[in-house]
Amino acid sequence: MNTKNEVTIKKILQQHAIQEPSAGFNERLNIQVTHQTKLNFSKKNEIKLSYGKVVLILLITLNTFILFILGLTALTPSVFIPLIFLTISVIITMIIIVSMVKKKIITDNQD
Amino acid sequence: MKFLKPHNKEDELLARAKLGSDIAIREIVDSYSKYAFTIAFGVLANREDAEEIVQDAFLKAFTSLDKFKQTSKFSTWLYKIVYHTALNKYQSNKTISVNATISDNLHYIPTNLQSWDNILNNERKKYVDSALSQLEHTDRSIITLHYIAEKSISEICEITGYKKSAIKMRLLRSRKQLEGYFNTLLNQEIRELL
Repeated sequence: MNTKNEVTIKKILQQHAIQEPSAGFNERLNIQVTHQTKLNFSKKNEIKLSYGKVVLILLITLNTFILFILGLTALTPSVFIPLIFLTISVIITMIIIVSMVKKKIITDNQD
Repeated sequence: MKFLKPHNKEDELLARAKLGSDIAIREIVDSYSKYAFTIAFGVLANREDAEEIVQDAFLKAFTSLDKFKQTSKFSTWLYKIVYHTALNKYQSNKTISVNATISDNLHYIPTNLQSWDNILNNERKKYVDSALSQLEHTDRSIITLHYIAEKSISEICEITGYKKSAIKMRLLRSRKQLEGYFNTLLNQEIRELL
């Protein structure tokens, strides 16, 4: 079969052989797929969140334990106070980063 | 044509869809649902079943989006799911009379027909549907994938699981059959197109 006939067949098929689903099907499909994807996403995030919390608690416990072994109470105020400030600033930075990431995810989903 | 979007745009949409972006999901669904429906209808020849299959396939695809390794295009992966889900349905439901349902579809006339052009287009569509209904469902799917969804032979191999030689042979045979039908039924139309 020559190319011209093939092009003609392609043209005919593309113009007249595409089947249209019933009215409203696309809208229903969109709603279902969006709902399903969001459900999966939140399930996966819940697992990651729980895992992150466990890791964080373990790390804090371990670090506190090590600090006590090293003699945290024996530290002079000039070392102890900056250490406390450093810890607090790290926690605040973490909170800010987490809220920024959350805001970005919400904005991305709404755009 | 949205179907021929660059691969990068598709990757970006998928990444956003994985995060649950409504816009990205909508764009993906709108881009591929019509072609997915045509493929499913090509196998099942029944509108309700085809819609059910497309819905199942999209949900399957989006549920396991993390498993999609992006070694091929998303559309190829999606059509593979659509084709095999439709094939399973067809095999479990062989009692459906293919020709009867297709001819039911041929009598479908949209209610908003107002102009002569619309009537003419509807008539043309009936003839094309009639020609396609004469093909075996596998050949119909291959023709749909190649000429409507614009998939290459290699991509069709991946979707259907057939060898390249088999795909080429089926394409050639179907083309010849369609050419015969179109020459008989749409002689004047073909001349207009040429």
